[in-house]
Amino acid sequence: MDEPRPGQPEDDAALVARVAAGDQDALGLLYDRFGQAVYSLCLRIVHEGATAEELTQEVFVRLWRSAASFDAAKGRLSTWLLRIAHNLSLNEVRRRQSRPVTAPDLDWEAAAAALADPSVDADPAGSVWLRERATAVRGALAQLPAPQRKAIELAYFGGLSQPEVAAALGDPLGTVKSRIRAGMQRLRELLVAAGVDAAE
Amino acid sequence: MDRMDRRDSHVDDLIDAYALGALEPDEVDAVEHHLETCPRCRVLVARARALADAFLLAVPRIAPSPDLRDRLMRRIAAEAAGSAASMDTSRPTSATTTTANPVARFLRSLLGGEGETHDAGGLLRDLLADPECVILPVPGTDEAPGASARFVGSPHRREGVLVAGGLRPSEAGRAYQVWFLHGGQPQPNTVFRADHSGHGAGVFRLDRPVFDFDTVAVTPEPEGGSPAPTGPIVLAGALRRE
Ligand SMILES: [Zn+2]
Repeated sequence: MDEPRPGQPEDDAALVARVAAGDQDALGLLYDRFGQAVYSLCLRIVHEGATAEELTQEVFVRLWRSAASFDAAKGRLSTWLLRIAHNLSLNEVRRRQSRPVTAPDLDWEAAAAALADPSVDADPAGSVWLRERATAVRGALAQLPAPQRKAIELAYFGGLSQPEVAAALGDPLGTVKSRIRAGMQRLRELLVAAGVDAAE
Repeated sequence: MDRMDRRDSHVDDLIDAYALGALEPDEVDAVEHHLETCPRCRVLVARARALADAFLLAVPRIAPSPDLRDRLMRRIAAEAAGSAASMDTSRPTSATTTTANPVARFLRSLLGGEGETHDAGGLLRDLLADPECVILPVPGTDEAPGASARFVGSPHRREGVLVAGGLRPSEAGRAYQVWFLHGGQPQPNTVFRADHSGHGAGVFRLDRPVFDFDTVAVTPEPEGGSPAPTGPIVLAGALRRE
């Protein structure tokens, strides 16, 4: 057996292979690694802790069911999980027809739980890449002119189309389109400048 | 047809919005029809998708209920057992999941604006709605192993809240003082009292960005505060952006 050496965490692909073989503990380890990122994304989109938790479970149930089809050569597990979380969350928002048009309030219950949870800052093995990258992208987003960032966020996290973004912001459609393009281009430049390869 | 290589015969204008999922259905059809025969635009779409994927990582982290893992694992066990019980039946019927944690309960009361510390509650709500909100653990030291606190701040703001629990309740004339340290030099800050259940929240204000400091610490001091620490450090935590 190729047990990981002490202090050397198993990589994502090895854990996914164990999940595919029916190893529940391996799924638990992947939850420890990525559960918070998945939950945070779901919460960002659906804005309700209980729903975000159900969606988070759904993401990991999908991993459980389809681990065998995960191909590490095609991309990182974190990206795969977060794309599923993004899709499921947007579907949920659309299903409820309750699209928030401005950045809504956080879920206070969840926020309070987070504040009180000692594991909130745990940095599980294997997530260093995630963490560094998240920091770089947050930094780049923070440098974006606010109207560009707002348009991109409403589209991507709000699930709005460009005309809907325009309506939500009260701006002309053409302005929104050019802000989205300019914002994406600026982010590319900022990430390149920060030494982050968005295609990695 | 001799103009196929012209830029405007591609779908450049639509690619970023396509990757963000922001196109109208007819535009999506147009892009996808074009991609079938255009390797150049497929590359551009893949790049734009990668950029959009990166946003997914950047969402500020918030922890789910501590018991979510158990609920998930029970659901997985049920799936593994081939059980039809894949519904999440183990969910508690009310939001009781964090009441076992005294800091959580205290925070909820702060956020709910109850009690005399509603000042802290309003600022907490503000901070938590800030996309750059940073929440850091501030553990109890050997002097107060049962204590713990959370630092809630933001890189671009000069105010924040330290929310503590598990402290020895403040006696008459005594309180807890918050210190911000840079290179080992403590700068005095706000004073707060711990109530009968050991909870307290201090709203701090700074003359420079919070991450110019490297450590936050708390000591017991006289009610009016001290220019330099006189009591032992009961809570201390590193300040870092991530
Ligand atoms: Zn093309």
